[in-house]
Amino acid sequence: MTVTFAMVRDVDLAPLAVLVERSVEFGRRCAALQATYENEAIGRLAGSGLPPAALPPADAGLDRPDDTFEYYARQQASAAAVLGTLHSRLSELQARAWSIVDDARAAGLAVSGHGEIWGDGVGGDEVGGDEVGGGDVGGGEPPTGLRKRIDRLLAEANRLGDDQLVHCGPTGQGEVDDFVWLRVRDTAQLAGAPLGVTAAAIPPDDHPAAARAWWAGLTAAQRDLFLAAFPDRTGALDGLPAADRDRANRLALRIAHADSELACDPRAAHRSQELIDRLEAAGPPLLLLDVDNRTADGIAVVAVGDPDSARHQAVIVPGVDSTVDRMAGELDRAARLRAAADALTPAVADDVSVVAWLGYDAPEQNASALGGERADQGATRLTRFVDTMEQTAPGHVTVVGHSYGSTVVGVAAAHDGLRVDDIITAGSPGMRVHDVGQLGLDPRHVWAGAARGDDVSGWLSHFAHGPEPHADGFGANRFHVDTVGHSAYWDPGSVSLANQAAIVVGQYDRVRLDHGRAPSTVDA
Amino acid sequence: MAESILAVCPTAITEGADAVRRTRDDCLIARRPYLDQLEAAARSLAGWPVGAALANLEERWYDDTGRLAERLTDLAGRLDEAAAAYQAAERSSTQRFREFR
Repeated sequence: MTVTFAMVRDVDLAPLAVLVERSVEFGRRCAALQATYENEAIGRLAGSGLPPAALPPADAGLDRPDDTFEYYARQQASAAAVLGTLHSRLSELQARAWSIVDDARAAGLAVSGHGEIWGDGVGGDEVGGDEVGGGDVGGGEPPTGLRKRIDRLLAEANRLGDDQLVHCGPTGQGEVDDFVWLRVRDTAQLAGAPLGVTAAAIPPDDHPAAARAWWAGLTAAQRDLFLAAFPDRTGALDGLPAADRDRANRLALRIAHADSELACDPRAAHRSQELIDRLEAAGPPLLLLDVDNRTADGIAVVAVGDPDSARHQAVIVPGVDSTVDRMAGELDRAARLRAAADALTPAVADDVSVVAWLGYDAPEQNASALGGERADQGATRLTRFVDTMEQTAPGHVTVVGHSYGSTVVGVAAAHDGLRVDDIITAGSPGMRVHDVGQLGLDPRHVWAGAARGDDVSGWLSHFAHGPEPHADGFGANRFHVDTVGHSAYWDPGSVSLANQAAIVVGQYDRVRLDHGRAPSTVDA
Repeated sequence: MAESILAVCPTAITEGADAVRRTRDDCLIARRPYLDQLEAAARSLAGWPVGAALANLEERWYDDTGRLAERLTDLAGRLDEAAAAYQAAERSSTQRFREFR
């Protein structure tokens, strides 16, 4: 099958132009179907009490169709780009064909439907009836430039193949496996390259404001392609909107999961699967702001509620033995704190976001928990995270340090210039400072809680991380804690949780104190 | 065992099955304009290699979305069966309880 000159010249590109729009629409509808399926089908079944063992088997499992819809949506983003590029390329070839016709006509020649140049004394005997151009022609050979242009045009038209379209298709099974996400990324890279969607175009990760401006200057289609083509880079790029980072990081997580399986690393594969399952579970909306499955315990930063639109933002920094495998527990705490804080501001719904920040390599239950090395590393990263949040979505920011997480917070505040409105510690083994004055914050905005039976807050601090922040002499406010043990500070209905929620929304007069002096309520 | 049966809400399972079916129907509706346009674009590029690729793409998307729809139909059916089984168990338990009294 050969593309002729007439086919290039007369091709009707309108259907292809409409197809680009239909592809975008279909992608959007698939994304909507993914959300509908998760909210309505999975959501209802989660509330049905149906035991997991009674659910349909994995080959027709509940978590697959929404993955398939997500795959469709992401593939359509690439397909629309490929089709758009194809349309541009065909338009350009068609314009060149007509330019050849015009130039031939100016030279008194005509070009046949098969690309033959015809005129008085020029061309073959048989040119068909579809020649265009023509006129009074002098004899002799046609201009060699014209011949070369036609030959080049037809060669290009015939080379315009299906290389990229092949990648834009579905799996053929009506379902997806763990490895299709690699294909999503690769297809987006292929589709995006002609549109300037390249790794080199992504700005360095050190100027959040510049990154945000760059992002705002892209088209929606380019953004979709960047997120899919370079999910690890865009997902980690400070300054980008949380919702976009979430989309990139979810894909990066799936790709990391596939890589772990390919590398036969069961621990990493288990860790990523746990996080994927938690992110997809029914419940409040979660945004994956950062993820890295390559480190020993993994890195994950997940927001409950959108920090970009929230007036009150809290960041919970977990402590010893925190790993991505156990992220579900951190997210439950964040969700409870968010719900309790949001309930205190009924006039505005969803104006609180709480981030479970496992953005550092938390120590294990060994000597690493007694040293400051992990706190130093974590403090730098925490300060950067909070700085970025403050630049891109200014609000009332509270950092909550649990256990060794409070040590991280202490180092960040004392040495890295952590800028927050309030600091809360819960079950702290010490903040590696002598007293509240070293934290660089009005002492009335530093709040410490310690529960009965919490073995961490007490014995460690005397020889490892300095005085306990809840102790009288430290100088912070001690909020009342009615829970018992090291891990119950966010138990539903507890005074401990209610106190923290009040601090997060700046309703300080609601905080029940054991000692100290609360600032006046600034924001209700 | 009896506790888990009593804790299950068959109506919610049925509603879940209905939601699965709605998703399937919406998917089949959503694909139509895209597939129609793929066909139209393939026709307009008849004779071009890329036209054949578009026709192939249309066939692949038609098949894949069709298979997904079949899977959703199957899933909804299994959920209906599960709901019916729980309802039957509930009725049977109630009946036995009445007889016992």
